[in-house]
Amino acid sequence: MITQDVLDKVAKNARLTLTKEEAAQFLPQLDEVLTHFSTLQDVDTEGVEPSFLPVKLSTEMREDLPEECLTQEEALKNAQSKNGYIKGPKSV
Amino acid sequence: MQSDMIIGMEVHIQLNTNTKLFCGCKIENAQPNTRTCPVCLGHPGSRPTLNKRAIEYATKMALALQSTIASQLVFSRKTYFYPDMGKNYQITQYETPLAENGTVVLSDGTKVRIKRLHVEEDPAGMVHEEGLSLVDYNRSGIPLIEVVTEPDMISPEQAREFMKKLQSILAYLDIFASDGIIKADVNVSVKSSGFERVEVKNVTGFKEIERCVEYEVKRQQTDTVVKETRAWNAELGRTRSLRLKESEEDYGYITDPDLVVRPIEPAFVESIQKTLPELPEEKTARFVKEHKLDAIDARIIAAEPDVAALYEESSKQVSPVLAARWVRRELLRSLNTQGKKLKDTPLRAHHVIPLFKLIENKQITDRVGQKLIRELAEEPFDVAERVQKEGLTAVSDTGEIGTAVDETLSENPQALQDFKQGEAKAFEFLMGQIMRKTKGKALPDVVRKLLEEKIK
Repeated sequence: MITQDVLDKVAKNARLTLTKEEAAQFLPQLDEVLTHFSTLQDVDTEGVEPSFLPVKLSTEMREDLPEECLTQEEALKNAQSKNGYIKGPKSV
Repeated sequence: MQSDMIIGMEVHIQLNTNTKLFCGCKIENAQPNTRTCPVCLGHPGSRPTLNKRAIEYATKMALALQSTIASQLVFSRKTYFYPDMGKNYQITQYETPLAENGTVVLSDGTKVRIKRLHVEEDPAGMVHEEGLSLVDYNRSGIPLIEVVTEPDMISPEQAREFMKKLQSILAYLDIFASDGIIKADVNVSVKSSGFERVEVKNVTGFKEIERCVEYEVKRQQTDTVVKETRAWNAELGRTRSLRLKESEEDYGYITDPDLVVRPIEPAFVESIQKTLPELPEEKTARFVKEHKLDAIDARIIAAEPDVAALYEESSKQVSPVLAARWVRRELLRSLNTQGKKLKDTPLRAHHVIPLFKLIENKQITDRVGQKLIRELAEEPFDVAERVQKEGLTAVSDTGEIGTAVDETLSENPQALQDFKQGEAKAFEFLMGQIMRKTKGKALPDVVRKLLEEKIK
């Protein structure tokens, strides 16, 4: 069950500002999603190893060799920037 | 016995690989955002590829800390929303760290247990400006290891020694660049507050970590303490309360599906174990046992790989005890006074060995030896040549010393009289005057003997 408090907290962690109307609209929707998935909790997983991927793969490692980087111009292309830095929201 | 305080640490150490943890961007000082790619910028669709050397270095450190390596390598996503992480999660290790249950033993025998050691990526660098933040992704994705201790330290001195030990081990393993990042979260709890847990976040650099522990202990012993997270202000030398937005559960850790679980084979661990050099702890023990060094001399010499190497080379040519005494008491002290580390100077064993030989053979006096070592610490030179050129060879000729004794006695009648009236100090004064007259070159034993003969 998602309460108003939980919604507020999750929104805050995600840096989202919700209006009262949005919150009222999302709350029952999110609750429905969660209730739907909570069916999974009835499955008995006692002694079952968690599975993260349906196929057996193992991460390969690469050698510590430098590769070509983007130019500053390319890196900043889709961002607002200042003096070569990417502008972000105020954070202190 | 219950202690007055308990201290634990989480230390983040930058590994000196050539490239980042999950992409081939080079790690080096450069203009902002010029060492980036879609992976470390967090662009959609990009995929991390794991740097083998970073895992090797982290494993090296884990083994040096005598910890147990996990049987598989698992990475997790730590979700948070902040401008320093383009993809809104940091790749780290959570449920399964690379290693657990290590130990660092301090000189007083205290065992600092290492709870875990894990690998993670550094976030981007940030500059804060009025009303906005400026982000540099050159730093994003640099490999870090995090070493987490149990709260086993009971004084700021122990915390300092623990950091020194880490530094020393890192130097031997050669996995940490001296200009690299070292940050710690410091946990301090004092008895007077009922051991309320206070964490100080993000203390950068060995010196600051030490200062911060000292400050925080003092603060807690004199101030009201509440359970909280604080931040260290290096400029003011103080900590301040920090309101934390997230707790561990808010990070919503999940296993990173891009970096599927990889088994850590025993053969891999063994191959890393084989590359471990003799570590400071073992070196100290060997110096004490085989070279018969004083335990403190041995520990200080073994703490830095360059100092240990210089000593070891010297000990093959002169008596180890003599070499140790001169390396620790004279060479390290001279370097210290000049604010230098041996590794940053061009001074090598072949500069000091001739000096040690001259001292051992009593061809120069200790006093001249001390002067020469101070000069060597400033700038290396050929010792034999300098001794020859400046005529620094020890004087043992009784005729020459006898003249100096006679002159000194006639110049200091008062001291002579004092001595005759039973003032022992006057003898040492006269000794000093004679040594000065001979510019420190007279062998003290000869001077003493002649002086005694003349005035007793």
